[in-house]
Amino acid sequence: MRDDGLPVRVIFDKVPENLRARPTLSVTITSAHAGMRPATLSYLTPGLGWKADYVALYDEAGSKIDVQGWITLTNSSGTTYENAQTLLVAGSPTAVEGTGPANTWRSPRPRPTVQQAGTESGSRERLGDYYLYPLSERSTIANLQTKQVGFLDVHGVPAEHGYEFRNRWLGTSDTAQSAKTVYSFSTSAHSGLGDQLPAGILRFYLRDRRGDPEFIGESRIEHTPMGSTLSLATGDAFDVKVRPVVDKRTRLGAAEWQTDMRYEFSNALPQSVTVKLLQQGLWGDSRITAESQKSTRPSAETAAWAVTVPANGKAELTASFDTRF
Amino acid sequence: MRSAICLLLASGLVPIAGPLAADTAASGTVAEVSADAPSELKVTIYRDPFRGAGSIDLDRLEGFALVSETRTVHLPAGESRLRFEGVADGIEPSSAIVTGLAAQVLEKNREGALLSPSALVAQAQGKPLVLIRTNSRTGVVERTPGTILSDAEGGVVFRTSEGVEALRCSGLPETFSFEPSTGLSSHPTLSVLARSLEPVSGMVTLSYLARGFDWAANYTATLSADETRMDLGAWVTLANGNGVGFPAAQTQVVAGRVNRENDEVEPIDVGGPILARCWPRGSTSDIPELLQFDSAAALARKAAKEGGATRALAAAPLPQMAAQRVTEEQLGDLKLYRVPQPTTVASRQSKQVRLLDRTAIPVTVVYGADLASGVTAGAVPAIKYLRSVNSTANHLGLPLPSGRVDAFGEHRGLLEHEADLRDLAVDEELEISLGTSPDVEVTVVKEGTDSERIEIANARARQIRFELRLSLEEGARVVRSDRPMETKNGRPIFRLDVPANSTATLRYQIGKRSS
Repeated sequence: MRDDGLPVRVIFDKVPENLRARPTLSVTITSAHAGMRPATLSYLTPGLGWKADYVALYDEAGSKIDVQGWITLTNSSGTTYENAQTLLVAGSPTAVEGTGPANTWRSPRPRPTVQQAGTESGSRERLGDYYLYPLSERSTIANLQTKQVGFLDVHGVPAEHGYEFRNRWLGTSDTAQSAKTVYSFSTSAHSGLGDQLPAGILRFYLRDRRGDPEFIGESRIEHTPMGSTLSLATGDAFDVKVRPVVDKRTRLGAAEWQTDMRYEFSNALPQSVTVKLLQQGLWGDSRITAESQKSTRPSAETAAWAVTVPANGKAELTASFDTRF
Repeated sequence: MRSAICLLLASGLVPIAGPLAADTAASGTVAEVSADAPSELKVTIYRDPFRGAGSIDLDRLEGFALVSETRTVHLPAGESRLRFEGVADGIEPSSAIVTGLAAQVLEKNREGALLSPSALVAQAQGKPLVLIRTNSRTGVVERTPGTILSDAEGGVVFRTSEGVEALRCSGLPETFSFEPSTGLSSHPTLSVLARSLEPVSGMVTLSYLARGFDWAANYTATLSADETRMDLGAWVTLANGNGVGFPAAQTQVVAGRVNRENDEVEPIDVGGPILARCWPRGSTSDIPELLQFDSAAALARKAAKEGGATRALAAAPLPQMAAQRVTEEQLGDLKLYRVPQPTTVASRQSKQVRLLDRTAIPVTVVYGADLASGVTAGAVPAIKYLRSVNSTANHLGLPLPSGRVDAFGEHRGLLEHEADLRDLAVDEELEISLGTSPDVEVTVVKEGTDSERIEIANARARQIRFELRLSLEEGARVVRSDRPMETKNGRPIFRLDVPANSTATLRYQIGKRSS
């Protein structure tokens, strides 16, 4: 304004019509007569989202769980929605603007949580193939707020506690590795949670000797239909360990190998436990030629054994595989 | 007229917002209530789930804690927003659980919009406030009523009776005086919207998971002079990197790995700077820097970058020694260690509590080497191992949580080596590496295409036990050897004694095809 650096106040008479403090949407309307009338504006916006959070309290003595479900809503859209009627859609409607499928082949496949997909229909409101979760009351969703509203509260659902160990093909170890602690339960109406579960994180709690709930691990679940059987790993067992050992690899032919595997189980708990051992990677026409205990094949490429390990004791399982690799 | 807003939220991806239905009557006024300060605190600390062994890093506390706070609340009849102030900074709001509240919990909220200069301006937009101008020559303060028209892009435009102006564009000292109550807090605050038909007073328990904690065991192994016995002592070292301390808390630590899912961190608005975006001021030849008010968070970040935060952790007091010992109990498939007396887990503090003391544990010292067949190697020092079994017969027989072992020789009590220890259950083999030993050297000499000679030179004045573990190619095996061979974990192993101050040799031949 001035070349001598002295303060200059510039005062405008008015703000031009087309300048606004916030991005503004406007419509041009032709109307026959003037007057107040209600109008509805609908639009899509990113920056709003929700997931579910579950709290499960496991009762060791009765093998039962209490589950509470919360809908966690986050708003980073930049706007506060005052006193809004809110409806949540479970399922993943395709977003064209989305980034597309992630590079799933790079990361190892996560441990499947749904053992058996359910076939029961829920009583919840539906929108096409999606379930709707309306919030029962109007709520203010402030900008940058995380809001939780309860939607599930079930008590005394039968649950099972077990151990699982997955060994990759030719997995061998000098030290024993902890088996995974697994809790499984059903979402069916008659003997389970009786609801479909929107995707989210389930946190497990267990009462300590003083009766206070303590956190024992969490697991992610996908959208789960009602009637499914869920098996969720919460962490590693301190006292139940497995040591997989490749005892011997023998070449039987140009493209044929015999692999002798030995699995050593140890249990430092005062009661006997059953460990579900899964040997993965049995691709193609792989066969089990010998085994110290009968296996089952949940899938062609996986063999499973249920191994009982005595209290404060050890157990051993051997198996020979005939493979082309 | 009140607008009706309806939100349709799709999980994860596309939220659809738009009015659907006519509005219903709004709920009554909401009372703002703060819960009292915690009267009882419980902190259960979990380790970093991705650290299998070793000690904690005070600069990066990757573990977490379950915090339970018992607080007294007084709720009036009707709807009230109950605020819990002073929760840990690392709180994961989606894990919060409120129990014991004799009122209906409508929703739990965590506000991420923090008090910052830009948030103050944004909230004041369109509302009357006072512009304060100071005459830099006379010091006279002039107060003019005005309104903020816009704070778009960090620049502030305001209107007074004189007209429309941009803040600080005149070069004169200008600022606003804001109304005090704006509903913003300086820390993320957790609140619960509750409804009760009558006034309620009582104790509620708030529990939540919070980041910024960790713990590990720190062992001291003292080896006897004849290397046959060991004394093992251990501390539980726990640390709190949060800005909030927990006075007189019932403190526990949990051993064993628990699953954690990488959860998104909820958004927090730390505020942007307020800028004076004007026409070029000053002379035509120089353009002055933009006037910039630093936001509080930017200042905090700057302070952290300059070492404020890390120094606070690194300068944490040396671990305080306490005579009490933790008690162990089973928690599902995990181990829970309880500090017997309530203790203060202060902010940015590390603390040690005694875990165990065991004496005269029989141990075997073994020198070992891992060799891949077919690789010639010059003189390589062997690795010294201390072995025992975690059993009651060996004065142990208790779960040993993972951590770091400092091994001391009895002679002058000097530190020999530091080793990492993973979680060890009862009756598992305990093996502590004492590092390489230059007194025992291993040399590999190739004698033929498939045969090798190993020379083990012992410079110690004592007979030693030596173990050689071989890694063979797939399908290969040892067809001949001049010493007895065993198999351990699918690999050939030779165990031999090497007399004092002498060299032992071992020859073997490898067959490539077994059939």
